[in-house]
Amino acid sequence: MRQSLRFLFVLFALGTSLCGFGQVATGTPKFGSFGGGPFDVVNLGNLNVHFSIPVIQRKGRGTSFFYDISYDSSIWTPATSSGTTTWQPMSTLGWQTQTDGATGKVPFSSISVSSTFCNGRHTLLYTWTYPGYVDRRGTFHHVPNLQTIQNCNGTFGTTQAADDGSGYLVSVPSGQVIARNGRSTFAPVGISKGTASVTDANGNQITTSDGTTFYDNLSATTPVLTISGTAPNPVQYTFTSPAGTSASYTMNFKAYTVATNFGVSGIGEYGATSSSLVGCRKVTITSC
Amino acid sequence: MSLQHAPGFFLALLACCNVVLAQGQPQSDPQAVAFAAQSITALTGGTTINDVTLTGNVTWIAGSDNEQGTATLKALGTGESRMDLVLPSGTRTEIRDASTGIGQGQWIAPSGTSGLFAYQNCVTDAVWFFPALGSLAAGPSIVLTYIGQETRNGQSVQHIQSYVYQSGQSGTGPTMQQLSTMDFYLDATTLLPASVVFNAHPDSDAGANINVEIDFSAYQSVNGATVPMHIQKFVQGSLAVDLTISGAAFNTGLQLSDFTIN
Repeated sequence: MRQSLRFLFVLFALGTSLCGFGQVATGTPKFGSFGGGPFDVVNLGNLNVHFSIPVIQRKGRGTSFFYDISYDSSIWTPATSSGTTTWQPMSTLGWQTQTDGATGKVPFSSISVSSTFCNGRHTLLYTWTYPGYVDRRGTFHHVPNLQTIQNCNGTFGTTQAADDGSGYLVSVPSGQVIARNGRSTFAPVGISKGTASVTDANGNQITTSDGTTFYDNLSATTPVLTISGTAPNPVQYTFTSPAGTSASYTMNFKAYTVATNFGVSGIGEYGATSSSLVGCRKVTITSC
Repeated sequence: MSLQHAPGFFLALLACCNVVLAQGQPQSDPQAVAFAAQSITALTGGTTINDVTLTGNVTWIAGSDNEQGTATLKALGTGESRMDLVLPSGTRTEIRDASTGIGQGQWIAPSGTSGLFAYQNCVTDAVWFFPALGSLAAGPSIVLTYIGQETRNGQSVQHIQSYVYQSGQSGTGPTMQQLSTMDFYLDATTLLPASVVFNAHPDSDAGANINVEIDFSAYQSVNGATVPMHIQKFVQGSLAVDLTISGAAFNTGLQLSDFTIN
């Protein structure tokens, strides 16, 4: 079944990878009621459909490595900007890829700025605010008062706890996320691709230095997963198959036009945009 | 520029750019600077313009809402602007102000509710409806890049890109360059602006982009300047504001108090 899906499934994805939080909770939030299955999960509270397509799952010492490509159907959010509201799609049209498949991410929220004199010099001081943490399953966890703050003495981060009962403790700007079981994750902050690591309570690690090459605690110098290419060009996921040979998935992309016609009073439509990308995915296992 | 306006103008310019001249600032392309200067000359007729007032009719579109009314757009220097749309549902106002040294903005809805612009929406040109008072003027922190000659909407254009250079910005999230980047498409023959494209951002998410395009057409000579009599603002590719300009006045002595944010 899974192999069939891998061959047949049509993916919708964009080249950029930004956050997936919005007014509709995505993923499988704690305390939610869910239906659907066996492939998809429907949040009965908001009707978001969530599913994951596994790229690789490998047992590890202490911490197993997995990399999924997940999808959430609730992609349209009324986005208010300076008093004007328009329909805004999730930048990946619901798909989450790259590093967030393994570590999650700390999405970026807003900037505020103040003007002051530091050491007699006119200085602008910035405050960066983050809404919370999107875990590796695509579930958003709200974290209040998560900020990086500048003052005359430098730039300082904060550590705050999620208020959704998940138990996550999130620090910025480092991106460290400590789970209830002691597992520590350094997730990309403000971006979805970059340096990241996961360390369990016993010190076993999964790491990536560039967001495209991953090592688990058994892979030594051979990456457990390598991602190459960037949309709209094909993106290839290469790993070692159980037979010890190289295997890969390739995600192909195609331009489609996306627009809304919701006709909701006061909310501007998303005009026809041909930058969206749709593709199909195939698996290639070499030298099996 | 009159002395009366000089301090405000300077503050506005400084604040619009949000930085003072910094070491390490990349040089603008001479070709881009030349095209920008020629574009401003084409717009102003070589006259120094301190303030501008445009009046006309407007169509406001948001989803199923489609309202017609009158519009007044004012600008003072590069940092102050104000748009008042008188619509059947009430008056919609947007104000940009940089006189305090930091770019700010305020919107007032027809219902009377109001709010401040998020900072990430205060780093592109305040005077979006009259490009002569924007980044084409190449303020001290503006970096202009010549992209090349292109065909856009069937029109041959010169493509110039601008951004605000800021040194020493640390932290995470979008950079000042990313937030302030604007694309100017100048008619290849007249060098009058045909389109300006930039990104706005949701109030709660500076990392997400909302594409904004301003199209200028039907240029006419008014009081010595060349004015676009048709201005369209597209948000996310959908027409949001359609302005038909019927009057333009310059250097009428607009005051900073006209752009006060409450």
